[in-house]
Amino acid sequence: MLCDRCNLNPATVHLKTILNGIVEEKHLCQKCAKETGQLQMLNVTNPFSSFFETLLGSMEYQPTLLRSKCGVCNLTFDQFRRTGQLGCPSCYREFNNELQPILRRIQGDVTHRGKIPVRQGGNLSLKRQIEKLRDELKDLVKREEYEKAAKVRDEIKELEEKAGGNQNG
Amino acid sequence: MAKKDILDLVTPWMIKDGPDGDVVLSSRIRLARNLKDQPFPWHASLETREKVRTKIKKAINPEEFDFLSLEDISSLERENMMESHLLSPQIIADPAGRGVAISKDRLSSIMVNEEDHLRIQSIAPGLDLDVAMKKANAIDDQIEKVLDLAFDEKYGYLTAWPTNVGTGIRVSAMVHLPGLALTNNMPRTLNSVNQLGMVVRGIYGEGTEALGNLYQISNQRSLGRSEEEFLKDLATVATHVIGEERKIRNIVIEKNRAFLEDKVHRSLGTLKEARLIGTNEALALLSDVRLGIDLGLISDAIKPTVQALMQIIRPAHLQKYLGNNLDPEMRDYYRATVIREELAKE
Repeated sequence: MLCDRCNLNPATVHLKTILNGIVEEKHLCQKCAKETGQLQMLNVTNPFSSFFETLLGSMEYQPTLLRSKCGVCNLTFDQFRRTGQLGCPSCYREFNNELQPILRRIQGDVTHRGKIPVRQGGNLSLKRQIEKLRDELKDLVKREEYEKAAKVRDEIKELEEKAGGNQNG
Repeated sequence: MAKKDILDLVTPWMIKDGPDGDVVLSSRIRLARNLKDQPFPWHASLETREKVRTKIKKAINPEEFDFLSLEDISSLERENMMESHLLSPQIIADPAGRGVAISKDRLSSIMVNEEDHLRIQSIAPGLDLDVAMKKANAIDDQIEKVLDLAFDEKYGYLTAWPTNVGTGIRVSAMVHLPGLALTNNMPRTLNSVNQLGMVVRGIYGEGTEALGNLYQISNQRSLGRSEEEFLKDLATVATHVIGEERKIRNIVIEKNRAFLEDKVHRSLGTLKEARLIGTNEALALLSDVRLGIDLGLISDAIKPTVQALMQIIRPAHLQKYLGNNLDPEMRDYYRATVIREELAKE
């Protein structure tokens, strides 16, 4: 049986549509099914990983960069480009400059705003708290609520000392 | 075999109705975590993977989890766990140096040395992301107390794929969309879900096909937003899809009740009488019957049986249920027999 649409290739995709009791049968070749969007519902693969791979493959890199290695796990940048996977946690720092634009494209952002682990999180929770208070302080000053602002300023100072102390310790 | 047996053999969320249970089978949270100073599993030698596995095993509470090294169990057992969504297709493809910890209630699992050192996952029946999140978070907190995790102040939790970095979270809902599929609305739905920043995957996750009109909706990104925001985004999109599915079901039943009644009863009839049946055909027919039950066209007394059958008839479950290895042709015969016998009990 030939494809209903192009009449050239053998029909391999057979569709039966029943809407409001009206039965419609369509026999399409792979190519036409793809073009009419019918194959999409049959073939639920991961569009994201292919987009990611296409993105990585389409970016041009200097041969010296491709040969450069992560100092910790020896993964070359070329290996990353081919597999899409990094070799070890240190790769994020080692290839930081190249990763930034990639992350921006696939994640739309380069900064973590989620959970902070208690032990490995370091001063990050404190820093986020200080940031929040600074915004609050700006607001209070704008509204000329100086008494409240003074309180927040003291709080920030206290937290900053704590953060500094932790860093030294 | 008594009916109670098949209900015992399947994962608990398959047969339990949660919120929005007419469309959503289950909600799942997955957190990707890695150990500091260790290469990611794909880039590690077998020896290193084994070392990492031992380290993780020690960190997991044996009173809450059963720990298994994947090379210690049969391939049938591994496939069975994949069909139960406790393991991924990726990890069973190469089991050496990998493992899994399964919670006693079988609602949470920790895959060890899959694409990341740790893949913590929790499942809840229906659309109930918060419950699943709470559980996954508690497991993560417990592990973080004992193991040094790879965390970066700027990038968050570091993962093998940059597509998981940051929160390491994947939020997903498994949905049953027979109405949208029947009316050829799936391409449109997939499109709108994509535009809302989510993706639709097959029943076993990334790169797998949709069977029995079951799909997984999940987030694409993992960086730049908090876990709560990712949860909220998914809930919004899932609610939208649920609404579309219900709307289309109502339209079909209003405009052509006879057609739908005929379809779901024919499918039930085939299931009750067939002598040879493959997995895909059985799942498609069970999907119809499930739709019939959810729309009140078929008595809901058989719902637990239908839900359990959706899992029991998959190849590894069927073989475990029958207690022996069967070649595919024999499986089709026994699959038809099991379905017939179970449905005859009602």
